[in-house]
Amino acid sequence: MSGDLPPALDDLRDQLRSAAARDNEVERRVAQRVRRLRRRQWLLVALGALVSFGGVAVAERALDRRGPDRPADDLPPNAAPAADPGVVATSATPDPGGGPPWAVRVFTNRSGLDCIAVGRFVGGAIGSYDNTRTFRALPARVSGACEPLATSGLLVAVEHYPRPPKRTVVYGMSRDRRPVRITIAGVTRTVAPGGLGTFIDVRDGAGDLRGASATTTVGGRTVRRSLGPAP
Amino acid sequence: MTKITLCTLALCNCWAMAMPGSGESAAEGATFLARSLSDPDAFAAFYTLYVSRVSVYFVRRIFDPEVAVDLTAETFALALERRRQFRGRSAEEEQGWLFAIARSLLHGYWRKGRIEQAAVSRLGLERPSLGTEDIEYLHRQAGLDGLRGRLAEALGAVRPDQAAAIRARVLEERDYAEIAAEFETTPDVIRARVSRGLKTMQRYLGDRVPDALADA
Repeated sequence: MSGDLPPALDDLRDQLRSAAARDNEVERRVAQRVRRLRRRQWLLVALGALVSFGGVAVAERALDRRGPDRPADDLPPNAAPAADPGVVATSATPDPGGGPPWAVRVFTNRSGLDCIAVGRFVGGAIGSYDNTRTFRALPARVSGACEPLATSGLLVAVEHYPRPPKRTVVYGMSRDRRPVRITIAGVTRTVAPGGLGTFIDVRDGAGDLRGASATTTVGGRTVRRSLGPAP
Repeated sequence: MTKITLCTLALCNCWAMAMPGSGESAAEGATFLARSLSDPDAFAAFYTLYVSRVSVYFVRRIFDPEVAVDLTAETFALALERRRQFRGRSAEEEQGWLFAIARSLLHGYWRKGRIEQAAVSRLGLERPSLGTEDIEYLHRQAGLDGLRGRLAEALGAVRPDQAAAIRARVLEERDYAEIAAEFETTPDVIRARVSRGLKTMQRYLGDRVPDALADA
């Protein structure tokens, strides 16, 4: 015991200290990203000037970058960015029916939340196939599932792809990169998170999401997220 | 687990009690909250400085140590989440700001009959589990022995159904579900009776504790 507090209040202080440290780290990262975005804005201004002076070709290439992706130096060596800088190439997961694998794109939204989007992985970008079986890359400003991962510990989302072949795709990020158990319609699979803690579970068909859940361990505690309504 | 009971609350008369100072104070020119934005230990120091006063504030109004500690945890969790909104520059403003959060939670508990735990949950904090040492500490710090006579008197001013709920919950330490079964109603109704009854008791005891800082 320290500070003459009884055990429960002493323990609460330690928990709050850890929470403050996590919160400060998130804030530091957000500030870092804001500074990077500002630098990027200056770059765009400079590029605008280039366009004005006829440097069209150079400007087109530079402006072709995607939105506010996670800074490249945040990516570990084994999660080297694909052609789309936000796509985590090591998240590529095979589709049960073959064809291009699935992968996730990680980015930060304007509120500083960690976000993730999923799609088929083709030519370094993620996207989906339209009615004519033409691959359409996700737009640069795509929306995704967002959460403050540093505090929530687990970001997970599920999507149904209704066009044949029907697919149920569970994807997300685990802060501590511990195995994630995903249960849909009574079938449980355990996936091991890869780069940036990302994970994907692709299942054939449109799974019944009643009672579906994702569970992992974060900071020594079990964290469970429901993926659908109660059974 | 030991609980403070109205039996143990039934004796003396000192409501306002000077709390021992912790000997720690905000550094010159920078509040703990301001420093905590770069130093997590400053938030721990902020907590250490005020946790006794906050928990005593709740215990003296709710008489249930478990509820009081849950509300204390939520108070500090909210303070942690909202510390960037704090614009004060002195320890007094810092303390006033913290007790404004505590007061708001207390009134929420009295109004809704349930404990707000959203910030605790968002921060991933585990609910503190109280042992005998914790209960005795809260009991001692709140000086509840000295309040027993007044509390028994205040209980007499409460509506009979609410007084019965308070007796069952606080005195007999029974679960809400069990009490609800006996009274043929729902646990939420019992929670509401307990919290409203406690609020009535507080009103009865009323002006003797005009402000949270009187407890500090």
